Order: sequence, then C-alpha cells, then structure tokens
Amino acid sequence: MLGVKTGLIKIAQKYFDLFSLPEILKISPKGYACNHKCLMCWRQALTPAIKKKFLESQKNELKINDYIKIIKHLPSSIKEIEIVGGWGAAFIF
Amino acid sequence: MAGGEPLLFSNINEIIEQIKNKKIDVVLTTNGSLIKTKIIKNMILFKLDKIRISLHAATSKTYIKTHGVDHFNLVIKNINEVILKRKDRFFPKIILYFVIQKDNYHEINKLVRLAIQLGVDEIEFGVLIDFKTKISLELNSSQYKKIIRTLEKINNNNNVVIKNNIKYVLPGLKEKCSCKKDNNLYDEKKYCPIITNTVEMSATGEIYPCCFSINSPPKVFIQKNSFILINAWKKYSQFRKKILKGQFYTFCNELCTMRISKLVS
Repeated sequence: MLGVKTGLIKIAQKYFDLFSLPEILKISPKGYACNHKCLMCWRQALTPAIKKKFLESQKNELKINDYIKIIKHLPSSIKEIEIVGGWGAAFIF
Repeated sequence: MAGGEPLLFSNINEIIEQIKNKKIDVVLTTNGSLIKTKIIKNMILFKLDKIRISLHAATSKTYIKTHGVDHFNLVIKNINEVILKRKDRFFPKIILYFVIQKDNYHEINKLVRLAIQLGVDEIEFGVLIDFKTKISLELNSSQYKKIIRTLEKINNNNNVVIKNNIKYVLPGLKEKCSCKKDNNLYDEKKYCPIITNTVEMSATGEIYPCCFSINSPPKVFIQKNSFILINAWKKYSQFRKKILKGQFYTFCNELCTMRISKLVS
C-alpha cells in the first residue's frame, strides 16, 4: 500500500506539481568574482555598464552569518546543496 | 550556468561544515586553481560529497585558450593532491567538467585518457551555451557530427572504465547539429530536469527557480524571513506548471541546454 501511495505522490509531483518541495539548493557565495577568464562564460558577454552594476552589488553580498542562518532554517526537503560560482545581481538579460 | 569561483569566498570551509552538520550532501563546483591544502583537509574531514572541477582542456596550450589563464599544471597538481589525500576514502568524488567548444573538441579523447590516468571518478561533458560573447565559440554541423562520433565511440568502448554523462548530452548535441535522432532511444517530448527539484540563490540573496529565469517570474529575497525558501518555491508553482506542460519560456529555448529530449529507459 505504501508503494502505491509513494507512486501516486511521485506522479502528482512530476505532472501536477503537487506536494513537491525543493530537494536541491544552489548557492553562489562569491557571485560574479572569478580568477579565470573562460571564453564561453556569460561574464564575457557583459557590457561595461552591467559589470559596474555587478561590482556595486558586491557590497550587498551575503556574509557568513547570513549563510549560517539560512542553513539553520533550511526546509527538511533539501537533500543537497551545490556551491557554485554565479551571479551577484539580476538584470543581466 | 556558473560563472564565478566559489573558493574566493573566504569562509567557504565554514559553509561546508555547517551544511554537513545538517547531514545534507554538498557538491562544490570550482575551477580547481584555489584548492589549497587546508581546503583539501577540510573537504576530507567534513566528507564533502562531490567536487566538480572545470577543466575545458586536456593540454596546457588549449587550457590557456579556453580558461584565459595558465593554470593547467596547477589544477592538475591540485587534483592529484586531492586524490592522494583522500587515499582509499570515497569522498570527495571528483568530477571533471568539460564544456565542448570550438577550441577543445579535438581533445575529448585526450581528456578521457587524462581522467583515467589521474584517477578521477567521473567526466561530465557540457553543451556550449551561446551567450553571444565577443568571439564565437559555436561549432558547425560537421564539427558536431565529429564530436557525436567521438562520444559514441567512447560510450560504446568497454575498455573505457570511467563514469560519464555521454548518453545525456548526445540528444542536445544532435539537436545542435540537426542530426536525425534515434526515436527508439529518445522521447521527442522535451522536458526540464532542473525545475522540479531545484532552487537557486544568488550571492545577494535572491531566489530563482532556475538560473536563466532571472527576470521571470519576479524574484524573492531570502533575507526577509526564514521560511522564504518554501514561500519562493510555492510562488514559482505556476512557472513550473507551465514548463511541465511543455510550454517553455524564450530563455529556455534560446539559452538553456537542459531542455533536452527525455531518454527512454
């Protein structure tokens, strides 16, 4: 019976987005900053104005205490955290 | 879509420790140039689950072209050090990440040999996303055909004993070169493997359902309250439903390579 219930929940999650909660959280603690200049990276496509915006946004980046607070209050559905490089502010596209 | 280097964050060890204390798996994506001895020690101590190292070249010469810096030997040295320090432990698993592009597609076989020689656990191939950078890295149809042949050969070679994601990247590559798909293998209906289980948070605390959805739907900030992750997830319900129905957004079609044909099991 448990198998049927689990199966139904999985179908509901997959096709109807019911009862679902996130399992993976991606965080990017250093945002835009990088010590490489990969040719295919989206950073290479930024205009000087957006680059300036990114640099300005760095002062608003989360600090270690913010991360500790976030990790403490994570929902139990989170099974994996990916630490990646990323972006520091929106308005890229 | 990653574009920064997380090891530049000075408290990265503390983040890993906090996450592992909550018994949550941690995957670290890095270019591998800043893996210092202390970081390796902590990775092993806190049982970091996976480390994905971007290595878009199998030689120093190509590395300078693809990464823009001369760090090939340094990265190889760091990978060797992680492997040496973890000894016979299973953690962290090491994955080499290789985005196939104009400057490196001729080194695919060399990369596989290098990965086996180094003793890494897995290779992940990535399909190029065209961000319209100054220099076009896009490959032409015949180059894609060559890549597909190389990858299929590796995939069918029983002597290649390294875990890889070749069967998952082939549909995307075939789509790029407009090759005929094998309908017995792939379901023509497109789907997104990301949005059903993942949320992303930027360095400044905004939460997104995926990395390309930066302006649509509207963003939610994490700092307002501690239940924000669930709230954001619920807020993005309509976004997910739309994609689950196969109604992709413009950025899905134009930018994202995760929108792939489903592999029929």
